[in-house]
Amino acid sequence: MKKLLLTSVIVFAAIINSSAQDDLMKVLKENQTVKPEKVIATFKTTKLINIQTNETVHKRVLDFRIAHRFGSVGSQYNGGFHNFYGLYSINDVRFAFEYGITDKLAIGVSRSKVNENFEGLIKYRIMQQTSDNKIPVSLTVFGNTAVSAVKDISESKVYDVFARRIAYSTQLSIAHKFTSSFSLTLNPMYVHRNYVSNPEDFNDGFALGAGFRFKFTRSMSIVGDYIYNFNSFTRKQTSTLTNGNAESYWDPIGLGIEIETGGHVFTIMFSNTTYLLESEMLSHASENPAKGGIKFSFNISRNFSM
Amino acid sequence: MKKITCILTTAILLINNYAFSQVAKVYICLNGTISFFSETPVENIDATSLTLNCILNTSTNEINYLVDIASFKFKKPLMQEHFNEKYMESDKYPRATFKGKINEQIDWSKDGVYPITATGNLNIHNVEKPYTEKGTLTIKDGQFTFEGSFNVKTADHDIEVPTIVITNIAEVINVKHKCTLVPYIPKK
Repeated sequence: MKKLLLTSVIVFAAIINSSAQDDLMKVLKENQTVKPEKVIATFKTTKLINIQTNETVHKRVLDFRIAHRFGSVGSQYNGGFHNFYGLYSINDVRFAFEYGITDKLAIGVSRSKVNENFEGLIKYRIMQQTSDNKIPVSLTVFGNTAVSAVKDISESKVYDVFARRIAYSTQLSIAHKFTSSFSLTLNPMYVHRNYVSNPEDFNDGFALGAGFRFKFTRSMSIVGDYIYNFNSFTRKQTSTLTNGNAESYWDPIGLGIEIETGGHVFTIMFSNTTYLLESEMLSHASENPAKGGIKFSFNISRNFSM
Repeated sequence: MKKITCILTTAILLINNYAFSQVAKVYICLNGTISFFSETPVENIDATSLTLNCILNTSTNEINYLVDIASFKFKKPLMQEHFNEKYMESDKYPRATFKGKINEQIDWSKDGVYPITATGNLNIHNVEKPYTEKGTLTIKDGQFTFEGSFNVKTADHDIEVPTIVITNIAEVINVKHKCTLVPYIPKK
């Protein structure tokens, strides 16, 4: 009896002791200095579909980007079987180089097919969301200047004045990464065109874009964006159907899949806008997706460490 | 009889209590260094965290480590992004831990350099594996410095490396760690 009691007491004491030792990890966790980290990879690449993301090219990295926008899928918009659902016509192509001077500042140049636009761009991270949400959003500003190199075929020779070839656009990306797989961005946009052919048109235009990324595997995401254009003149623009009828205005929308492999980001997407450059996209009507006015499009981004 | 038990219980509990509060000292380090190195013919990758946490109970020789995966810094931000997002999934498994015991009997009051071994479970990427690794303990002026290096096989911890970058990342990663522990004063 005595022995039993003694044993039980010792066992009891041992239990107390061992449970106290299991708390070592608890003590460590309680005392651990948790440094708020900058939230990274809100988006995978610098551009979503039609809007910019908060991401910039990292320091001493060159991002070579090839974007293609094919013709409309539907036969009502010159697509259909005979045009291989738009793949036989190319609406816009853009080749761009973006380079990270610092982790916050990137510059770039591009050339795109529509109106032979040469583009110079600059992108700067104003702030970056932190893991403790003390800084709740990431803020990045983007600006570009586009110079059209088209041959002046007009009688009035409007492009004799070089400044008329120039258009500017600015965009702010206000982004938040909600979970590791879901991010949103809200983009106020502004476009200034030095020259507009119609006197009723505005030189300045405002728009608001919104986009998301939803990661569903470790390397694949669904991306999408929408832009509301405030320019009342642009909203009166129409798109032309195959039969010559005018189709009323649509805002640019896009939906795609983003695939990331180490160093490459491929985006395969559909969008109803013909244009890849902001100043063009925001001064034209996009097509009606319900009538097949969506276009297959892809973007390849390849990062080179310099 | 009852009296004896009662006295015994009290005595043991007292001793126990005393042992834990007085003799048993807890030592802690919150700013240790841990780095890892992956070497392949294609490229070398290394990353360092300056917030390795370590706690030691000198009466039981128990030693625990803890590090936040997101605290590892790489030279190339894109690597850090891939490391967190793709390989370590640091949002799901934010920490790596080691719970173990030092195998040697050590006179913690005597200054000197001692080769030691520790045995315990290493948890990386939510996969726990038993490890026994060598290290060095330096006791000086009541501070304990632990140092060591060991190898981790990525496959052991279910860290999947996609085939496209398999030539860039070594199968065995070398981990180096160092921390200096000081007496732990609990926050009141």
